[in-house]
Amino acid sequence: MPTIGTPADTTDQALKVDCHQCHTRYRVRHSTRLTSSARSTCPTCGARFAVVSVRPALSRDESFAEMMPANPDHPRLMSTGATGAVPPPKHCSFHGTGGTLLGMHIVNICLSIATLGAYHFWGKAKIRRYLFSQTTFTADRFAYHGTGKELYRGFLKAMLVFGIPYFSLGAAHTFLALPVWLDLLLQALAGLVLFLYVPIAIVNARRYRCTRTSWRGIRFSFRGRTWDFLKLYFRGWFFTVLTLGTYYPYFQTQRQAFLHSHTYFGNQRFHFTGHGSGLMVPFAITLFMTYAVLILCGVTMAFQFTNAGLTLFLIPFVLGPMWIWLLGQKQKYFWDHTTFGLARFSSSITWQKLLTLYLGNLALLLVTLGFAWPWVTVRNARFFTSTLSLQGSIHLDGILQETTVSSVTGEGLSNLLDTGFDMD
Amino acid sequence: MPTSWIAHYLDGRTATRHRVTITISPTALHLLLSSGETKQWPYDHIRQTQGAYSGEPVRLEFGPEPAEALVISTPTLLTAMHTAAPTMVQHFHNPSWRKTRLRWTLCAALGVLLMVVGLYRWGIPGMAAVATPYVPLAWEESLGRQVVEHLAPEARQCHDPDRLRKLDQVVQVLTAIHPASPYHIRLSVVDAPAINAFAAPGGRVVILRGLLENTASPEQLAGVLAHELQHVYQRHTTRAILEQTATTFLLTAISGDLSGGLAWGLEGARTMGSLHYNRTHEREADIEGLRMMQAARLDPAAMLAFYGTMQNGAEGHADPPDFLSTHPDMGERLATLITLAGPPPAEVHTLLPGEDWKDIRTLCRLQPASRLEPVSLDLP
Repeated sequence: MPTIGTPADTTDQALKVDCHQCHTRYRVRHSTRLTSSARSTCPTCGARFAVVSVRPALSRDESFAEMMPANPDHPRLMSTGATGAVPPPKHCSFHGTGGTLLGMHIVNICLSIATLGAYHFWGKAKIRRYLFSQTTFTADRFAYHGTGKELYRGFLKAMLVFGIPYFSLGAAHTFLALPVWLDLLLQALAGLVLFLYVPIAIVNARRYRCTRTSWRGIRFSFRGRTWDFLKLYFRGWFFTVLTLGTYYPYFQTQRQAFLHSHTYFGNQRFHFTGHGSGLMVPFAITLFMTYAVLILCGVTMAFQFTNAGLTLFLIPFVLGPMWIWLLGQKQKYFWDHTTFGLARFSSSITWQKLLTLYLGNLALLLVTLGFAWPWVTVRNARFFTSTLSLQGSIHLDGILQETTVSSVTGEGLSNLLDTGFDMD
Repeated sequence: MPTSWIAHYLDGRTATRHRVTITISPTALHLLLSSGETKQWPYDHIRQTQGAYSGEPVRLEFGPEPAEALVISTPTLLTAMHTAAPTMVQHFHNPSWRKTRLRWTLCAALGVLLMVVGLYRWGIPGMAAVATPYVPLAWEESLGRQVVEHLAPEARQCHDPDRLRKLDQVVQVLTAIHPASPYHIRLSVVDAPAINAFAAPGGRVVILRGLLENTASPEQLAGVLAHELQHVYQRHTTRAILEQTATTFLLTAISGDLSGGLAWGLEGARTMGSLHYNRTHEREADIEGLRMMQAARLDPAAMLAFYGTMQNGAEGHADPPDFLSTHPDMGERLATLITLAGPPPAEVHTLLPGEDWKDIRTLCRLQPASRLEPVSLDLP
């Protein structure tokens, strides 16, 4: 488990760090040599230090500021900067109501049917605009700038590049008398198209949504390249399969690291400091329990023990909460290891809260036959925003609108996969 | 009504908020920043991006991206603008409209209800009926081939050329009614005990051994085949596919998406729609099948007799509610057919004269189905 080195003692000329495990203080001899890949351990207790990011030729105070904790379990680290001030945590909140959302949805349905579905994309943009504008961070609301026309174009683009090839390849045998080998080949190609679609859609949906989201007039952006994410995605699945799932938490963390660390707010970047090993224990426990329950069910059913069917109840009542626990751990870990400037996100999500949310949502949807969807959306948004906070100081005046984003998402054949689209 | 408002100004270049005082004139908003700088925003260049809902701050944007923005917590600014320059600020939300929003939403809900019922009852079947003739026959044949390969594989079919030829004679008597039909009807018998038959698109009709062995005469088989042939001629499978597709689109439009818990309810609605259309097709096949029997000068009583046999066989089984059934209620079907059949015809055509039907119907050479399996509820 990595621990931290805290920048300390700003009165001294040398950069020093405190080990939070054994409380030993060390002096950094050459702070200018620190690089973002530098790693070290505490000579006393062996705890790990990590330097997240250090710009070359920084002033001493700035060097302190960039020295980020590798472990978020010590919130006081967030205030251990050059200034020594302890800013209060900044919170998100959601103010939307289910009733308003239902009303908007009814009007959208009416217009969608009347226009034979064409209004669907405009309705979706309207809903997003509402949801974003009801979300605040430090009392300032987010704004969504996407339009129905853009969503419609994104849909057409995705249909052209993926939808038509996928359905054509998948349905070829319906229209043509094909030999079995050719049919299998086409089915495999259809599967490949779908497999390619998922990572490309993830990256491009994020790219689109980021560029269409602003807070205090500053746009977010995502600058990761699709090709890099494709490589990460294929490598992740390859090793996950090869290691019978053991690699999965590493893959998930790398995926999150890619998405978070290529996201910018204005000209400032988010950072991600997590590592797959941080999720390994909860994942291993969940995987072990899953195998154990499934094997138990299989054995009791195979040997037809008395009341063998009752073991099937273990799946929803044991595995369900177990996987929700893992999801909670994952969400918390990802946010707790995401930083922005000097500040670090913190999630108060717990599996109990998550389970309560999901059970409440399920009950609402079942009782109302799905018509409580707007309230479920509101519950989810309130839950997410209420459990997330940002701890540490943000220098808002230093955040500038980035005007070169268009070059990243520019149109063109060579950048077809990086043009950004959103259709879900 | 205030004459000036305090708001936040965002310059679009930094994340810093600037306090600003706003005043309005008939042509523009006037901004006085805390730094003393003044700005003038003509109404026709301002976009409102937030503030149409209660509790939501009003956000006005000005200029090309990255746009400057004003954020003000009260909608009274909008009210004042509508009062001061009613013709120039029509593209802004008017807070006074909020009172009518509930009324409009209820109207929209009523509109949705009427449109959904209209589409469900008439629109979708009508559209499917109009579009069906444009679906290529080759596509139906290809689909039918796959259906038969899956449900009635060659290995499970009964191959007795002599008896099959006699069954084909029954088919030919019926198909002679539609000489111009582009379909080449092909009959197969599958070695399965259930009392059932089905028509695959493209002209493939499959009857199961159980059904064949429960028919008392070739005319009774003709009654079943007439029903199945109508599924082919009326292109019910193609219509069903189009109806299901249209239903899916309709439900997608209603839901906005098909994800999460809502998908369950939607799938249920789609299935209910599909069952409704299926029952409609069955009724049509019954009626047109009976007419086919009459046109072929076959005794409709034989068809009714076999339906009665199936109804008797189904007694004791718990029927699902009508709205969950793939077929209409058999009693209702029989009543309709009896009404349509009218009095017995004076002259009827006898099928396969001089042939031993009991021998023909055992072409699969298995024991009588009545001793093997209960009667299936899946009706032809």
